[in-house]
Amino acid sequence: MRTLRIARGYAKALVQSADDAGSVADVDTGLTRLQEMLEGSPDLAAFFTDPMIAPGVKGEIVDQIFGDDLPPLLQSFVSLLVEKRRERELAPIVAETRRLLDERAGIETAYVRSAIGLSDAQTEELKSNLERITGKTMQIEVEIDASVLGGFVVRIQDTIYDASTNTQILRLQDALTAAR
Amino acid sequence: MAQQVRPDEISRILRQSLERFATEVDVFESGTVLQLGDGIARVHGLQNVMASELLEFPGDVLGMALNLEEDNVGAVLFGDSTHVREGDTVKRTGRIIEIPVGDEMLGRVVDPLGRVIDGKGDITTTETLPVERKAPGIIDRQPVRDPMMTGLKIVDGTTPIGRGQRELVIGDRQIGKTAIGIDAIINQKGKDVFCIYVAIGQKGSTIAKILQVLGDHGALEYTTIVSATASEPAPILWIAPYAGATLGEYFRDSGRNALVIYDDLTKHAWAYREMALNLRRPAGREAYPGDVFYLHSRLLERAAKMSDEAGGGSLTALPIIETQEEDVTTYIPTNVWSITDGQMIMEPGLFYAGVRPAMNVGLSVSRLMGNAQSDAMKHICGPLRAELARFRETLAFAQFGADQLDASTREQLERGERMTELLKQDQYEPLPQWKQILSIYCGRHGHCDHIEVDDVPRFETELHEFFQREHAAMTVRMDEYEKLDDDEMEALAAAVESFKLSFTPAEAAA
Repeated sequence: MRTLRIARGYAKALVQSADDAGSVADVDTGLTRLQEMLEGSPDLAAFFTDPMIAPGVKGEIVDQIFGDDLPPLLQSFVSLLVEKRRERELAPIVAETRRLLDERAGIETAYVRSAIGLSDAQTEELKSNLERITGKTMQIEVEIDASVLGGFVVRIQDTIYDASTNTQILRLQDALTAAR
Repeated sequence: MAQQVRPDEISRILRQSLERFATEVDVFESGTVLQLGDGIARVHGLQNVMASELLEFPGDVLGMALNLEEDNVGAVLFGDSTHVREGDTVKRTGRIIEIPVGDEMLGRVVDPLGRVIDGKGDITTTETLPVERKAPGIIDRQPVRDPMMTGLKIVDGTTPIGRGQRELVIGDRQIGKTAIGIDAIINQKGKDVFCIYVAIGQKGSTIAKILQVLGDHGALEYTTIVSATASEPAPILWIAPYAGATLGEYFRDSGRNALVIYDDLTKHAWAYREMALNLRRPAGREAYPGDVFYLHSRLLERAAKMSDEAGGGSLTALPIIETQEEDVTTYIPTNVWSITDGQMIMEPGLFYAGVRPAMNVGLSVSRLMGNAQSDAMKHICGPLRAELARFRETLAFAQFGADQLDASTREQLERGERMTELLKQDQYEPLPQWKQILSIYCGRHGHCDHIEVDDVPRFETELHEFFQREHAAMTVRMDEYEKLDDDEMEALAAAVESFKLSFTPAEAAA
């Protein structure tokens, strides 16, 4: 809960300064790179969360690691986090910034649960239909879940579009057993 | 005899159900249960949820969103929380909590969500109204002007209640608070007042008894019982009086009259305190949350006498408060006391001395007084309250030495004693206005002064019988609202005199 509140503040500040500096696109690609690095290297993640490393030392190492890889704004942002001793919250802050950037760009992620994998054509059809309904650009993330039985369940933020066979069967059960 | 099983019949019904079954995509907004305990769920998600919106938990459990926080929603559960687990999906319903209303609800027992619990089958109403509603504004109201008689001499004579008034009934346990409410309901028979009895946190057996009493007196046909027994979770107890008020408002807003009894608001405040503490709302005095005054003020504001343009209907409220050890200065009693238009104070001392209803006339007040009495009653009762208060004061003094009293004081004491006797009344026997007028008239004008105190109840009964037998026309007249004029008063005095001649005092009979 507390982490989320911190993450929101930092993420909002980062996006705003990127906006002011006119480097939103740079930050966007840099953020993707940073996210990949964090996910790809457990050592790096451990380095950020390690409280034994002194802030000064951490700052130097951060400069060395990210010196050329990240746009200047993002690099100084990470340094700021280290200085403020918020580097442990880096992962949630990055995720929150990603969400904010996507929201600005009108991009929404749809999490799809399906009993079997979807073909490219099916994914494309689902995507265009969801884009028509929501009026936003969709990113589709598919998860295979056998309990769906058939059809699919789509979650976009809090809204759920449930077209699964499992739910249909449960509803049929309700309809048949309902008192008349 | 078991019915013949016919497979073709069954498959036909199943086929019909299947044909009617349409496959469609279920679209809803959802959240996830983060934490659950004490009947409270913390839910993540539900970004667009409204305050006090109904939520659907798994296992047909309903909930209500109460705390909307930055990253989670605090919700109370209206059912068994053992069905709900951490990680479960919670659905928004888009509805604010509501209850079915209508004439169909009369004669029934429902829970605060409008679910039938008397086993008499479903109720089909055409209308539902939200449980939490705003009280009518100033424009839609008018001052209380019509009496809402309880049928109790002591109440109608000294602290009359008007249609649209809020009168508090306060006192310790087991001294006849509920009895006043039940008698008031029984007395509304044939008076076009619809009644709602809201039981909050009471024993199931008590409610069963009330149901039976109301049925026996033919009072159930115009009464709805909203039951939230002690076994229900706190949120159910909490919404019960609001649900009862909504049922009454249906009658009020369709130009009719309703009476709602909240029995009792102490347990209501307890239930709200329990919820508020579990929701981690800051605790104030006696651990009640800060808005416990608003809890009751917004409920009791819904009682109103509507203006003629708004239909002229009314909703009268009789909130009941239970005190501990006669202490009326604690938090909740003082709150409700200040909200209502008067209070009836019940005292154990009087109750155990056999003065029933055990209302303390000196401390009990109706702030509407004369406006809530018919002209006929107002004329007869006059300063009855002040007279009784003086009697009690003199009585307290007289205890120091009764033999040294002067004649006028002794007369005052004797009349007061007989008046007190006349104001006693058995439970479930509300009296029509003419009987009340007769009893109070005789007491105030000293018509009982010559008979023994023990004989007063018999005097009263025979007086009522005499009038019913000999002066039926006069009883009809005394049931009307208009003041009795001088001629009629003379006729009344003459009739009472003639009864006194026929009355045989106890010693003479023995």
